[in-house]
Amino acid sequence: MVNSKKLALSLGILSIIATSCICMQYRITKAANLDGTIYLTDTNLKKSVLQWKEKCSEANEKLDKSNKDLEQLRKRVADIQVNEELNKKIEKYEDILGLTNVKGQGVRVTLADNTNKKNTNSFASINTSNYLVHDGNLISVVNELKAGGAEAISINDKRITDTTAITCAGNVIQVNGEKVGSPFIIKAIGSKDLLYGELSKNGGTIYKLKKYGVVTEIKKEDYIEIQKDL
Amino acid sequence: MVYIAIILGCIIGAFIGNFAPMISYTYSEYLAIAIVAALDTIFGGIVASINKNFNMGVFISGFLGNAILSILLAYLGSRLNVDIYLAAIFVFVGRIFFNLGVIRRYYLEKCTNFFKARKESKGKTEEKTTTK
Repeated sequence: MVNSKKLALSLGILSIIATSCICMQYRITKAANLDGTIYLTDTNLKKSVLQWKEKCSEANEKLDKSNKDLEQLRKRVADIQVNEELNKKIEKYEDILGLTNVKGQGVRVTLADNTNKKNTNSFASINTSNYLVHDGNLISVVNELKAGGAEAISINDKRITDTTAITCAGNVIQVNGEKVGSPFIIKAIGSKDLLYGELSKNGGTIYKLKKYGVVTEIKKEDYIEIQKDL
Repeated sequence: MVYIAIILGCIIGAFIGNFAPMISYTYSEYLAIAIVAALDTIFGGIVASINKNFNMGVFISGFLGNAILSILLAYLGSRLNVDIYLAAIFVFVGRIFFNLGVIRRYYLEKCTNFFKARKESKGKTEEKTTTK
């Protein structure tokens, strides 16, 4: 019969297609498994993220509670000892620890990477790395400000305290573990004339950076506010 | 005849598949759906041969249409982040089982009829012997 012949032929061709596809698929999956890739299931990652979020919120609650306790204790101490000297000392140390908002006169320093590379006659044109602001530059500027008697310093609104680390993190700089990029605005509170003089002295960090071709600016300000360390 | 063709096709296909070039892993999903569509069509063809209502045009257009539509659906699903290809596989495999049921019933009937006929013929011969 012609019909059955046709049927057999078409079924045979189809089975050729099917089996060849199956063989190919088998080889593909085998090759994919042989690569030694570990199939990280999304569910595990999701689970761990959720767990860490919960832990974080718990820790935050604890922190809030202990902060309240601390405030109450301080109030009680202040009630007991009506000693102005002690209170002044406490305020001073709080400023140093970065626990309070500080405002007053000071200087605002702006350091930025020189992206235009206009200052080609400087000796920095040998190495383009010199056009950039590095973590070491920031550290030396902060040290100079401290030497000039700054009470509070912040870089891009990140308060500098005694435990602050300024480290290099590739194309950005980490302050307090948070990424900070160019332009860097360093605010410092203290005697503005003293700080300005300290920063703009010959042979200082800013002087050197200017020679290198970094964009620098020092401004005296009558009123600067620095937020407390979070 | 049909089964000989299928077995021959399987052997040739295995050879071709072993020496064919590799397809990248991203397309293996679509290949899997094509395989399921082909299996579905083969079972459908066997059923058609049993029912004797085989039609070449319906057969080929069914295979191509099913395969292309299911692959398109799988692609759409991967764009929309919905596993639509599961629905296609569900339908195909369901039909495979249905067709398998039809084939099984047909051959079971044939078998029982065969044994019945044999028993009857045996009984007849025995009768003949007793009468003699």
